[in-house]
Amino acid sequence: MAPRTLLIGPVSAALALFCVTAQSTTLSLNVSNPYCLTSQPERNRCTINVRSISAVASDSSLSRIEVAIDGKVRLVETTFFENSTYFNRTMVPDGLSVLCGFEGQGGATGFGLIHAVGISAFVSGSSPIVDVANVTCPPASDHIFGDGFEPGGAG
Amino acid sequence: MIKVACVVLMYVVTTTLALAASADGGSGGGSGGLRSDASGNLADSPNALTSFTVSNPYCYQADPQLDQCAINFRFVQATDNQSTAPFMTWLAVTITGKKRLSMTAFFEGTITYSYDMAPAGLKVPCGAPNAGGAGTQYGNVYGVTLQPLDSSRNPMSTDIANVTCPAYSP
Repeated sequence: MAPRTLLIGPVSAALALFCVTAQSTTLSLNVSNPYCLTSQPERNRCTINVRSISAVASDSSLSRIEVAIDGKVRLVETTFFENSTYFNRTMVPDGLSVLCGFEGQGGATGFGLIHAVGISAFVSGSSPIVDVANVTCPPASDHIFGDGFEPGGAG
Repeated sequence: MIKVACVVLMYVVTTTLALAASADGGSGGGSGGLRSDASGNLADSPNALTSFTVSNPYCYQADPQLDQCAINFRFVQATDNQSTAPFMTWLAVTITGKKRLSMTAFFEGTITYSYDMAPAGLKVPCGAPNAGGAGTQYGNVYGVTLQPLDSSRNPMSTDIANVTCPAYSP
């Protein structure tokens, strides 16, 4: 996913134009390689993760980034007296659990559900900058065995 | 006339933004010499430490069907000058008054923590929607205290990170 850069004025643009010369915040949000893998396919469980996320602001007004899946916030990472946040997949080693869905359920042959993964960066006093990735999961297994092995024949 | 209108407009916008920032960033504010950042976190000045850095606290909910979240930090590093007492001996992390992590300086002047030292993070309840007052998408807001301690376990500095967790709303 391409990097996104946005200029955010701490006050409304119209106000800044004819009242004050306000310093703008530059915010860059980079998201790379969101992915989904089967964790327990026999139980219809997959996990979503993102290889890396970075949000870098030109000042200290960046407060946090968030990862939401299908509209539900699943991760909040904040700044601590710093202008940037960095995330990589190993910070959530087991990923974020989701339903895999059955083959074709998301509309793609051979795949399961498609989940909307929203990555948002928040700057104090402004609307967040948001990237949304449609992440396609592998399908759940249609063979359900309690021990994970095929049943063997008895001779 | 236009100038007066601008000043009034500025006041309204500034007040609105300040309120929005307060609602957005948690408890905010500081007292007793503590400073506050955009996320409402608090920190004081290191005492006999050459540096004390906390980076990117985070909270996540691995399974939305469970009221179980994990708090972690990308990294924490505290460095003592090793020449002036008191000397840093421990680094402690406390969540809601309970010690959850203690690291030791072993004949060294630096304590470094990174998230992969506790791969599953520090488990906490996520909390019901708006339990911490941050909004319905969020649950509990934890004040996580990080303190380098001297050999008598007295804090040499205190940082408090307001860590917001996703809500448990199955």
